[in-house]
Amino acid sequence: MTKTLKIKPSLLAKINSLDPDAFSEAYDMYSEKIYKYFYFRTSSQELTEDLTSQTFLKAWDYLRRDNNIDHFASFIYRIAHNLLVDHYRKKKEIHDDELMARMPDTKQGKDIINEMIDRDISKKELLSKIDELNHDDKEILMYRYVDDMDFKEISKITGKTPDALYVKLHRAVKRLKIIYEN
Amino acid sequence: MKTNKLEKELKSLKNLPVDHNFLASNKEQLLKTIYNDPLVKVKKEISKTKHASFGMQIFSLKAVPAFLIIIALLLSTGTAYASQDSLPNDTLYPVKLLTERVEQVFTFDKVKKAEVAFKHAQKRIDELKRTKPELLKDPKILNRALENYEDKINLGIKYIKRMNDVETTLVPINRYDRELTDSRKSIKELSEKTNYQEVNLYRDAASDIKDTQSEFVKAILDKAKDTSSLLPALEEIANDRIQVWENEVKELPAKTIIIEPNKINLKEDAEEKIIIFKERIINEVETILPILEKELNTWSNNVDKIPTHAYTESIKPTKTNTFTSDEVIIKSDPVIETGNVEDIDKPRQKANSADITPEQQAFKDEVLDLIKKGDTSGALDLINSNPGMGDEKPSELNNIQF
Repeated sequence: MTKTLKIKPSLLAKINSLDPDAFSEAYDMYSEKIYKYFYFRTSSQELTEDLTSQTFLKAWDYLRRDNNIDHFASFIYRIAHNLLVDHYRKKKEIHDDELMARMPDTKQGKDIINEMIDRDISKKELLSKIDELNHDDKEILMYRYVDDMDFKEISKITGKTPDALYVKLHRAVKRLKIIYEN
Repeated sequence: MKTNKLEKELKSLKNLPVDHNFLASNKEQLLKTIYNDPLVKVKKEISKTKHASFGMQIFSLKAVPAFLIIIALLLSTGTAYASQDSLPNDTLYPVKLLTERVEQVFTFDKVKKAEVAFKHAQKRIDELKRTKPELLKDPKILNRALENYEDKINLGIKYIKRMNDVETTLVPINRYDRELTDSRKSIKELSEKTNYQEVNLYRDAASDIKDTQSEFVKAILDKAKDTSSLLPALEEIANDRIQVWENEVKELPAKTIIIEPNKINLKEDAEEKIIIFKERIINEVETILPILEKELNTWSNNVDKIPTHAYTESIKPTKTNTFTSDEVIIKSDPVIETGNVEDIDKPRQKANSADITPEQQAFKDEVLDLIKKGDTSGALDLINSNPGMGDEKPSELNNIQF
């Protein structure tokens, strides 16, 4: 189960002063979330593991360059987001705006997800319905429900206001409901 | 489906399983890397000492890198401190280079190591700028700084080559590239300061920096194969090159023609190519940049062959030469060919005698072509029908019986 604990200021201060134990604690709190973040967006376990590993190494690397983090959650998701974008840019055949669409789109991706949720037909169906939504709708649903972030956190990553995100989520759920009904 | 039920389903997505074995082994690897980080190791040592002796608050090594502590110790000796303002001709200069080596050795991170190397290289150029012009004529002084400059740049490139994808994205590539461009410019300016006494030395130095810059770009292009995040930086480098090229073109007279080997009008040649490169940079920078580098270097080499006095001459035409105020025609540069600075005036003599103009060259080629085809009477007719060109009759015609 994903931990919902947030990094306290005292722990953040230790992380900023390059305390390995504090960083290890942050890893425990966020590694699962980051893992899921990549898993849902890449549908590849191998890639998920590689990118999860890189995310934390990059975070450490950033810290040791005289930099301080103000908000660990948005910082770590920002790195994850950048790595994901970078990865898809590297694979030139996949365009940036296909990032989210790729999730259950490929045969391989579907197989993995199917395998992952084969005992839960409703989840499988839900994912395939989500796939019919546009990129923005999928993104907000992923952040809110899969990554389990609150609006403040999503706001820090996307640069959009919590109010706008709330409305966006509401509309995305509404559109998902219409897809279900049809 | 009701909205509440849908939201419940959505919330259940976060409970999808993860590979906890992976997360555990990844943590182990991560912590191994972190605990072996030299910065953490040194910090721990200092932390122990401080607690044991004075119980003072631990200071952050992030704020005080190890090399600064050692340099501070070094600089606490008067000699090392005094050396910091020294110039290549000063006796304390080697001490200054030593403190820099210490800084380089005690910087552990590849990105910072490259940064330190480029910083030190820049210092060499700044020192030469501060050195008295008369001292700049001394090859020993000049070489002392320039050799160190090149060593530092090569060191910086070496660290860049060793970086992983993430590290490379942290390198201020464009800044380094611009510094290299500026260094070449500075060397050219220094060359003018010395009144051409050491023209070859400076020319070689500028050429070496050009080669080093190409090596730098090559290293970045290699890295770009693995990480597309470098593409914007490469585009910026390509645009910088175009800008440099455009500026150089502006400085040339309208008709700057290299007669040998192919009668190239350098100005027109560059203008045409610049348009093509500009169009193609955006989508094909990885392919275009190496070609652009090569073209610009070849073009610059041709421009470098033009003696500077030729420009002056083109502005003040005499009755005996064929130049107008906006053209300069260059056959060859004996200084390049012989390496003898005393030959600097020879192109002027050749230019004054105006051996041959492009029109005359075309005439000569046409006549020779007819001769080669065995059409000697046609060649003779051509000569007779162009009396003005006859003055520059090709020497090859002397042996032909018409």
